[in-house]
Amino acid sequence: MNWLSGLNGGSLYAEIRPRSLRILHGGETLVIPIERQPTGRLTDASKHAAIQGLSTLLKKKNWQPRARIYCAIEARGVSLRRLSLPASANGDLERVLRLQIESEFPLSPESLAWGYSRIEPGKHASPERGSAAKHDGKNDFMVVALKRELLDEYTSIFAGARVTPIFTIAALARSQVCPRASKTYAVLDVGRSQSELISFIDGNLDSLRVLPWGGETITRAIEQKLSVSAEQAENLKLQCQDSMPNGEVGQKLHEAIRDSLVTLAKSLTANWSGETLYLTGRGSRYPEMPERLAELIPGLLRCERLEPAGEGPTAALLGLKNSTESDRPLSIVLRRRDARGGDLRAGSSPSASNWLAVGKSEIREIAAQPALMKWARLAILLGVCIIVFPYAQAFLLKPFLAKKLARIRAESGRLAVIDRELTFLQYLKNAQPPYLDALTVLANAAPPGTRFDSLTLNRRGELALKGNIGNAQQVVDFRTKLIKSAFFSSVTVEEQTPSPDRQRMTVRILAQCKPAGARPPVKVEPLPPGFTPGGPGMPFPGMMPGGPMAVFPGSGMPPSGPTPPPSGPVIRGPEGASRAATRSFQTRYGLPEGLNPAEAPKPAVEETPKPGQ
Amino acid sequence: MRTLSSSEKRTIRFGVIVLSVYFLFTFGQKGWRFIQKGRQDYRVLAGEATKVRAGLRPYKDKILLSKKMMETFHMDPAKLSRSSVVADASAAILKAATAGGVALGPIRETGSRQSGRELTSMQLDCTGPISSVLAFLHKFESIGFPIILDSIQLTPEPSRPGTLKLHLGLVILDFEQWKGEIPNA
Repeated sequence: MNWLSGLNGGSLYAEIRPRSLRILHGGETLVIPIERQPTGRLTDASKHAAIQGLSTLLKKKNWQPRARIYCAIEARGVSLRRLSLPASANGDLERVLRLQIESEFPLSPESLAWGYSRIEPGKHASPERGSAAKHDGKNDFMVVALKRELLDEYTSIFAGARVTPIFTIAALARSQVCPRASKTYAVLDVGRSQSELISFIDGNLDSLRVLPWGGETITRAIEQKLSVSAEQAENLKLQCQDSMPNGEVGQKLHEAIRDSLVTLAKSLTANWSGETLYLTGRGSRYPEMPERLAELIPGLLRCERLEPAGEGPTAALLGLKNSTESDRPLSIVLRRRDARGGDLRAGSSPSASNWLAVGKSEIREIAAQPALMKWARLAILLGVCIIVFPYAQAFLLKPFLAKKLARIRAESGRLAVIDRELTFLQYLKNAQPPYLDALTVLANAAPPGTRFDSLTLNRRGELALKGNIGNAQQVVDFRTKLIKSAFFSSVTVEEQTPSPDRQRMTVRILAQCKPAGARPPVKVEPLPPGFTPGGPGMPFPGMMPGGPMAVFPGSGMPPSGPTPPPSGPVIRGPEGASRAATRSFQTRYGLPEGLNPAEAPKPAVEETPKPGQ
Repeated sequence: MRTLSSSEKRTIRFGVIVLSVYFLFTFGQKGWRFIQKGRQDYRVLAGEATKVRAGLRPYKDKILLSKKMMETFHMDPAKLSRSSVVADASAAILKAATAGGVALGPIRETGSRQSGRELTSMQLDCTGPISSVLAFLHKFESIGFPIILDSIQLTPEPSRPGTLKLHLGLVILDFEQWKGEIPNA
């Protein structure tokens, strides 16, 4: 099975007999009895029953792909013609064949369902047939045709059951199970009222006959011979198929069957002469039938039955199955004008024309089903949308896009305003010198007892201070701390002079602040241990020294209330440095909490929580 | 009207097909060119739109930054009037000093330098407690005017213990100077 067969939703095999429709699906065989009108057409009830039976067997949903059903039809109404065509007609064989069919058959090709097979050249052994293939530059073809309306009836049943039929001749399908040991052979299918004889010469189809001899012929012979009713005769005939009764009845039965077989043999001899005869059909179950026929038909070397004795698929069904699963496809497929292409071989490699035919038939099939047609319409619409969208988009959206772009360009002046304002604000921010940060750093670095007499800081970051520090070591420490703060790029002690009493050092320090961005964030150091806010006042120069530290002489402030000692180091970013400086002064010198909380920006203070909190 | 024979019908059908093919070929090319041109124009326009979008993308951040700085400075540069900004800034400084408990001394105002971006420069002295002085310094950031502190000098006030004397040099920026600038130039 190739992927195409999977796409087609599986395969079924059917044999349409005069009174039954036999279907083989997987390993399951379904027999649907059918009734015909006197004209030979199926009754509506039979059609309905067949559709129901098939639908039940398949259990297919509407959206599932259709299954293929390979149908073998009876030989009644089928005509065979041997046609010789010029070898040059091979390029347009079908058209030439149509013309030939038009001249050879009483109906036009459009009214016929027909198929053909090429008679292989050089294999035909019959001298009277003249090894016709390709002599005189001609090719011989065997054309099989029947009235299209006969197939239309069956097609409507299969269409109702959502399966796609492919028709062939049942007799041809039966030949697929033959061993083909001899050059000339025939297959005789014995039915209830008639038999189908198909003969082959060198593997090429030679003739197809319907013989008026069937199981009922034997029944009638028994009925006459034994003078019993038809029902009793039928029972006796069935009994004979298993074992022949003994005694007089057995003898009479034997004679009756022999007489009827003689009739059959005469009929066969009149229609066929060959070496091997294969028997199929329920009517051929009489055990001695092959032997009798071999005796009765002159020149017959071998006669054997093909089907197993028990119930099961018929030879036609087995032949159909073999042909689709093996590399021996049926040579003739009956094509109607609107029939789908493809042969009976599932694994056949599709040619371009075959693909085209399959495509066409698929389209027809889709068009025939409303559910599929709906999806097809949607798919086509989607495809058209996909193709058209890029162009439609260009024409539909272009005016809007152009208008939008024009509006943006018209408003581009606002962008310049935004840029200007941002540049101005950034300049303002960067030009602000870090006064309060510098004061914070100084306060953090100043040793206890330091007094500043003056402090100057300008926009360029130059800091100059003058003050008194306890001793030379404290001056060194102060300078070291200022440098370590990384806030200043340079710190210069311009002058340090001991006071007259040698108790203090008068210093003049110059420092240069680093540019914005190069300065680290300023943080407030915690108060020294044991420091109590609101301690003794800060002395002015010359006043009694005391207290932990003085920033500016005379800056001692009365305590305005208890200030809780800081709980740990306070970290703050550069933007909060101004407030940090204020807090630093506050916490060191007991200044009141908050400078102007309503106006000052909220500092980004992150206080380290106390352990245990 | 006479019924057309099958050969006439075939001729007419053939003629219609030939004419259709001719018109399709002639006008189809023009139509196709027109469609392609429209699509090409749209592509160009879409390319421009992409560029404009890419150019506008940084402005989201710029606007946020501007907004943040305006909130920090309590100032909208667009509302600054060159004619009144000095007077308004002086009044705001006076108000801030008064509210903060700082005693203002003399205020000296000097003219602007034409080449600079300053509108004017001012010098002022004030005295007050250390907290008030520092708070006063801090307030300049959010005073609502483009003031840059040019220099500060802190000295003790010998006559009043616990107070500082602050000598302040400041400049007021002229926003008009930025208007002539080419942004991002």
